[in-house]
Amino acid sequence: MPATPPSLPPSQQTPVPIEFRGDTREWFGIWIVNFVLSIITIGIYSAWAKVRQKKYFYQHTYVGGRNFDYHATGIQILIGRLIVIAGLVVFTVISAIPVLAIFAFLAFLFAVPWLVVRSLLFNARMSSWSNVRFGFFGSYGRAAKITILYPLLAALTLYLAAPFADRARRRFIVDNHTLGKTTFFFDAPISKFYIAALAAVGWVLVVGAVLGFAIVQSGVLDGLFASLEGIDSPPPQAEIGITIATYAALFVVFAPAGALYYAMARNIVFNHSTLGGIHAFRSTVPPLGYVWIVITNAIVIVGSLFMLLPWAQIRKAKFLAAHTEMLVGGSLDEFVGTMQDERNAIGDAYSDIEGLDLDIGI
Amino acid sequence: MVRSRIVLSTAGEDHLTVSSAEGDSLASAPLAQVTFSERIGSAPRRLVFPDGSVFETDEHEAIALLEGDTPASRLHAWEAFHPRLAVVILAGIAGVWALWRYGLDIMVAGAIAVTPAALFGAMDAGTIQAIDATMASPSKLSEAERTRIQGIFDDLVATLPPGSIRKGQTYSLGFRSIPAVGPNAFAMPGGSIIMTDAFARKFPKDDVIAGVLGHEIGHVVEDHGLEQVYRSLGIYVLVALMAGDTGPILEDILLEGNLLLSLSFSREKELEADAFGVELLRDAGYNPVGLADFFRELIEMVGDDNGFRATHPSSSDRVQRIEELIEAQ
Repeated sequence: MPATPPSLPPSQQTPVPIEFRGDTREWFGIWIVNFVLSIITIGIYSAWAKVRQKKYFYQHTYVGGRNFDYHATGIQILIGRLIVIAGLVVFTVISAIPVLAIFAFLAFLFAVPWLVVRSLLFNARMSSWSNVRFGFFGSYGRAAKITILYPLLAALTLYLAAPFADRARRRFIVDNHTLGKTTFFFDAPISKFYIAALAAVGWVLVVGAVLGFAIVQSGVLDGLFASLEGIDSPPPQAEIGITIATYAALFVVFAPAGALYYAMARNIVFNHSTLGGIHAFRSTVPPLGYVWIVITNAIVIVGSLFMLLPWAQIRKAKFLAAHTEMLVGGSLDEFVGTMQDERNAIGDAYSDIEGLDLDIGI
Repeated sequence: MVRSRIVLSTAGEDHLTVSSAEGDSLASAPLAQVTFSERIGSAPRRLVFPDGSVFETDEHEAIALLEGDTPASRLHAWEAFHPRLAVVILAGIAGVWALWRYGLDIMVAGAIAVTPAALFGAMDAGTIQAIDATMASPSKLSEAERTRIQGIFDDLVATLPPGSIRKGQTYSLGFRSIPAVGPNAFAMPGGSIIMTDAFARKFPKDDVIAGVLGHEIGHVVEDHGLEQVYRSLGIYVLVALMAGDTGPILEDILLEGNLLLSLSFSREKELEADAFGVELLRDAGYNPVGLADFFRELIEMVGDDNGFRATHPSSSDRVQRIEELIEAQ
């Protein structure tokens, strides 16, 4: 299904806000009950918990007063998860046999594009806005290019060409999604991706240098170097010092750089995506503001032993929604009306999609 | 979307009718045939009629009355933000502890029980092939040396209780010259144990060799290799299933935590293998002090103290534990 490039000038579009109406206290109850039921059932309920979580976040997100919805059932998610776990177990055990490990790895590698397509398809079909389902039409071939070939090529260029691979991946995802029968489209100049990448790398270099300087000054490494010269093993202080330094590096250097890139890339994608050629989107997420949210969230979550995780999730969702809007060409009611007519014409064949929902770290 | 109202009539069978502001009937069906969306938070409720029409409303109380008492409505009641949630939190903490303390072990034991027998042999064969291809060369020990050590090994295996040999496991001792790892002996899940030439030369005493071989046999009998693999996998899966969306930074921390946990587990297993070795030695007629002597010599050679990032406990700890076990016998 070819994506429709934009054809309506911005002046004829009306900004429509995106709201997230979730509430921490409400969500906390749902989250903790989800968690406890999952523990009691040794993870089986987690499938239903996931559905409930997605429903909560989808149904409390509104565009122009109409909300999203999530339609997967617990059974579908459970079956998908069992398949993934079975695959993981087989993969781990076969990898323990050194000669077969390489075959296991290759089999996994070529399964990835298929898994990605099935997962995107399932998630799209199970999601709706204003009761109109999304769709996905990506092919295995293109998925293979963006999951295997382009990352490989990027690695070969010592990641100097990585932004191209990232843009290709985002184009694959956006161009192949539909809302009802209306297609999405995304294209942006590569320079924007390079700016985002440079910001992230710049952060790592600058903050990393400052942190490295601080660590050396603090003398934590002195014990380690002294021990390397003799046969004594490192003193406990150096061990703990190294661990703290590692976590500090993670928290202060790498995670914020990742968050910076995420925010900037998200802005690029929204600002250059269109729906049906006449509707557009705008994302004005401040990158440093997003970094602050993510870092403080992590600190609060750990500090509260995960009890405040629901608060952090709501906070992030509200932040992102507050900086996102849709630019509708014409009237929203008309747009929704057209989509619903289309849907009635083709009939609702979406309810029993056999799909895999991948969420275990792939 | 059309503004409408819904009316329940209870004359005879309960019947729901949706009508427009002007009074035209838009959808109508018996209550039993109408599907209610799950109540979740304060999201609008959706009622789906058999013909596909959807009625959406924020009137939660009214719809709750219509819906009546269902598992879904009870779930919603439990999720309300209420001091009662403290009970749920305590149940959660207790559940996590129970899962950690018992559930994981049960899952791992189950996984080992269903692991096909052929896999054990295959793992060993593959690992040995890989070692031979990369860093090992044939042993340069004399025939006499190898026979002596083989004899000790056979004594120990003969002393094993009959039930401790799992289907698929065959105990065998191999000798290799592996300069890269120095004096060492290691065991694979299928029962293959390899001893390096350097070990045989550095620690020639019978009791010491018996001690270390007994320790390695202990690893095999207790399936430590597979336990480690399944346990790590199990923790990863459980965390992935239940942590939900914790955010990018925490995912890394949780995975690093998994690594630290498996290191601690590994140290525990080393001590268990020591304990097994001590018993096996005594039963086979060797002096368990041999194992303690091995660690004492190790301290002299490479020093002590490993810390929490090590796969093995410190040698002095091990000497102490072994001597306690010997005294207790």
